[in-house]
Amino acid sequence: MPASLSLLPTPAAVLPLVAVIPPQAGHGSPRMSEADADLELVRRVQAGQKNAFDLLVRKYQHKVFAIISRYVHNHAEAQDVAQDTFLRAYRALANFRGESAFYTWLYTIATNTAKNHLVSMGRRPPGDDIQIDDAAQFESAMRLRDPATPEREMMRQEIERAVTSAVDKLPEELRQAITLREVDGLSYEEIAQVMNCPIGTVRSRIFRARDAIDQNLRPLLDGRDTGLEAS
Amino acid sequence: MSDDTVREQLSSLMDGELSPDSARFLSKRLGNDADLAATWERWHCARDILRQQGTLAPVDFCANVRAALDADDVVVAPVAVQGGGRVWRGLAGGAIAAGVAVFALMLGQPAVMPEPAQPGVATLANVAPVTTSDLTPNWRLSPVSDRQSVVLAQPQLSSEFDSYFVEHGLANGTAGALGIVSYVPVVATPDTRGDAVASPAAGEASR
Repeated sequence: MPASLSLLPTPAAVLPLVAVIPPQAGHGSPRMSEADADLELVRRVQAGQKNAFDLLVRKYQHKVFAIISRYVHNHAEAQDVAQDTFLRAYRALANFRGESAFYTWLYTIATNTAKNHLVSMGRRPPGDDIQIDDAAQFESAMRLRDPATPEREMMRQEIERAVTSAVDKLPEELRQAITLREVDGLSYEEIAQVMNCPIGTVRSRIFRARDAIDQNLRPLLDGRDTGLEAS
Repeated sequence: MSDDTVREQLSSLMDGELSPDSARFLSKRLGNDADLAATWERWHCARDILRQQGTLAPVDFCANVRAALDADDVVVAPVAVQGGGRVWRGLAGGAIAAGVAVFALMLGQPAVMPEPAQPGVATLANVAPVTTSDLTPNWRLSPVSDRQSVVLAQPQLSSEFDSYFVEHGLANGTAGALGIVSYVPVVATPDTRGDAVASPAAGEASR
């Protein structure tokens, strides 16, 4: 973990707060969960809108790349396998019925594609699979020995620095809101209880925090081909 | 709707904290707004860094996937739209209902009545044997339509044979509720009937 991130509250520190909050208590209007939002994009792809698939790729590219990197340590190969994963997912999307979350489904495709790649190269895939729930922990450990090229590693560090320094510079209420959301995974309602403020305020603080982080991130990521026509 | 409002909604969408209607609207807009889609990508990148999940994908990864998809020319087979499904289900239901109705009408037809005998060709041998089960009201088996019961309640007495048959049924109260058994063997054609009346001996012989 980078030094600047150590200022953020650890999940363990927030855990007692989470424990006293009754889950889903007093939800006003129904919300579309992240999984439902993914499903909405999947439905659009199934209806023939390719652009909706771009959004899923943008959202999950880093996670898929991390999954692949656990199996395939060569960067160029990992890139090919990650791309193949999304191609396979796209081809199979017609049969996706939403019985599981899209990410769970994509995760399975990614691991299978990586293993098949190893077999096709005459290499043996690892015997023990990592369950999806443990993958996040494993991924942060794996990153320490990420076999990236030096340029890529430099880029990664630069982006990471941009994000963490932006978080450090945030006003306290924004930093707390974004940390409770992104690091600890609390819902808006839970954050509202922790911060003793209305949900609307939480919504606004999280947005402003993201916007501030984005100001630092945009110059580094500008120039990416969006794959979309400009509006 | 201001740009900031839209981006605040995008932030809520990322967190699964947007109402379903707004989420649908926004995800539709995302597919057509390059700036908004790029923001979506950067925010997810920041999230992955903060959560320490993910290994940064190459900068041109999305574009490469898109190019590969275009080159592959794969078409995701559209899933049947719900509305269309309802139409097909409706049509199928209608077809089944129509089939049942036709079947019921076929059962309700006066099959219990033998075909009107053609004078001159009808003989005792080719008169269809009539049994009590043939005359059992079929509407009890398939009470599907009112029309069926009307058919049975008001039989079309289209021939002399039918009239004769019904009259005998009503007159012969001792032969059972439907009153057919004792005289069925003598019912054939008007000729044989006439002969039987004119010559009791012949009638006896024909029994």
